[in-house]
Amino acid sequence: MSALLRLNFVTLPLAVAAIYVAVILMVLPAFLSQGNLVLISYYTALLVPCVIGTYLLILLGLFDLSLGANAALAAVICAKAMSAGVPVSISILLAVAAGGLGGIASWILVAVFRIPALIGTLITMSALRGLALLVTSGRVIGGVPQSLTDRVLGGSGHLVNPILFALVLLLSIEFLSRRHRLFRRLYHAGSNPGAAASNGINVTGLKCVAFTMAGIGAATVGVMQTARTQSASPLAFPELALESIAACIIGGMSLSGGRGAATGCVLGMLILVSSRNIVALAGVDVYWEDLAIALVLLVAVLLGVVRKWRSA
Amino acid sequence: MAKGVHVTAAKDALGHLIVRNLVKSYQTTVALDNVSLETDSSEVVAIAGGNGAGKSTMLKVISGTIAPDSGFVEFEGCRLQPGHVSDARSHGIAMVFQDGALCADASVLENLFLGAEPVTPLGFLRLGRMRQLAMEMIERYQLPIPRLDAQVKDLSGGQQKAVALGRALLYKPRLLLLDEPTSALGVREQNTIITNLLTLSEQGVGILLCTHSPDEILAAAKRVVVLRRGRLMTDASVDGLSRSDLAVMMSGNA
Repeated sequence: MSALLRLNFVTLPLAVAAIYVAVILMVLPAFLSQGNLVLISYYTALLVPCVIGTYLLILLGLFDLSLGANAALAAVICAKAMSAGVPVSISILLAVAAGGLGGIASWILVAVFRIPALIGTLITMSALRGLALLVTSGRVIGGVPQSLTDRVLGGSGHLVNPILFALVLLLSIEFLSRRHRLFRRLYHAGSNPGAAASNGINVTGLKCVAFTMAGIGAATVGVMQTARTQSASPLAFPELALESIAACIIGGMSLSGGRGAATGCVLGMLILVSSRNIVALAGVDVYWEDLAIALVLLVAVLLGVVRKWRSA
Repeated sequence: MAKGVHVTAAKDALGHLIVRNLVKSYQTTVALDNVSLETDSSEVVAIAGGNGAGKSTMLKVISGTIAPDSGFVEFEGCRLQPGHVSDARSHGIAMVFQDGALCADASVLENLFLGAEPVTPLGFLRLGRMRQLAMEMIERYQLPIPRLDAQVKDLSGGQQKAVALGRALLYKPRLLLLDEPTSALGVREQNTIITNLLTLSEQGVGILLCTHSPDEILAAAKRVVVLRRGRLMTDASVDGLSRSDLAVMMSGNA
């Protein structure tokens, strides 16, 4: 019975993967063109701050479903402030601060009141989305001045600001996660919260740091999106939180916490963005995108299972 | 809370522990019921009793891992802040937890310094310093700890216990609290740990040892304190006691 189950679990995705690879090979020249690679890197870079935030949360065995709503609210705040004539840097600061506060709200529910993350962050998700809809009366805010776009998305050649920012962020996090006490403690508290607490580590405080940084990361994504489209929708980013979690899982993180690396998570997001891109390049119906994502996730999880078998 | 109120001359008080009227209860059970105890430096005191007798709770209160409902702990004439691990550590009290309180995914080196890493002013780990301190400690106490870079999950049970003990020793404690340090170990590994404890005691370290094994009490301790349902029942010298005497004292079936 279990052998049959195992067979199905392996053979079925393999067959689908074979078709997938065939599709990739067909569109490979277009996929590998310089313009397309830059595009993929660019779209991934725009999401990196949120992926890094989710990585910090997953290290502690947590996640925040409200990150998408958080990004939308930040985008709206930034757009509204800009339209009202607030200077660029102050508008960005306001949006990012709101993102941090949103993260702290999740932290209060999950870490202080000890509501499970699934429920607690669902509450903040609804609250933040509701706020975004309220302040905009449900309408898209347009006509965001060019100055925001110039400031946020400027840069020269292919190394535009978002890509540069994503690279610097990733390298810093990689370095900090090896050498800095705060980041090492995120790993320790995620690996064994009881042991960390017994040794005097403030686990609740660490959760506050992770939730706040994730909120700030999501808000940064919101600001960059506003700069890119020069508008902000209160309904934007419906899938940001879940896709960030998916990216981390593809990147080899364990939802129980304590393991994983930021680079893997960013590569995970690169794979997700590439999958959508490949479906688009193949010229098939856009509705295939989600199936492609499902396949990528399934393969990632199965690889994780195989790895566990091997090490056991 | 006034930190460091000296009530006795420091020299007389070295390694002297006073536990006074500790009470700690969880929702429905009383874990410690008005427990008082005094111990001196280089004394090995076994805290014996069955499951749920309050042994672990007592050590956790002394080490600052949990705060008591009432009562206090005084070490070397200083009243300790209740529920404050780092305060107890800075006064020279370190604890080895029953499960080791180890992070399986982290290296031996990181586990040794868990919660007390030496860092630069900006919070970066001083890895060289950590390595040096760890090597010195392992050398000094001859602990069976393999490579510092090994992950704790790859170590044997005895090696993991050694890492947990090594972490406590890094603080150069004058009072060492051990919660079932030899449980789930083979006989040889048990003997290694006991030998380490006796050496520490000779060097002037006071030891409180939680255990339910009469053999361990006879091998390591000079004095035995028996807890039953949170109450201190017996406080006696181990001299002249037999295995069965101890078993009777612990079970309460005289």
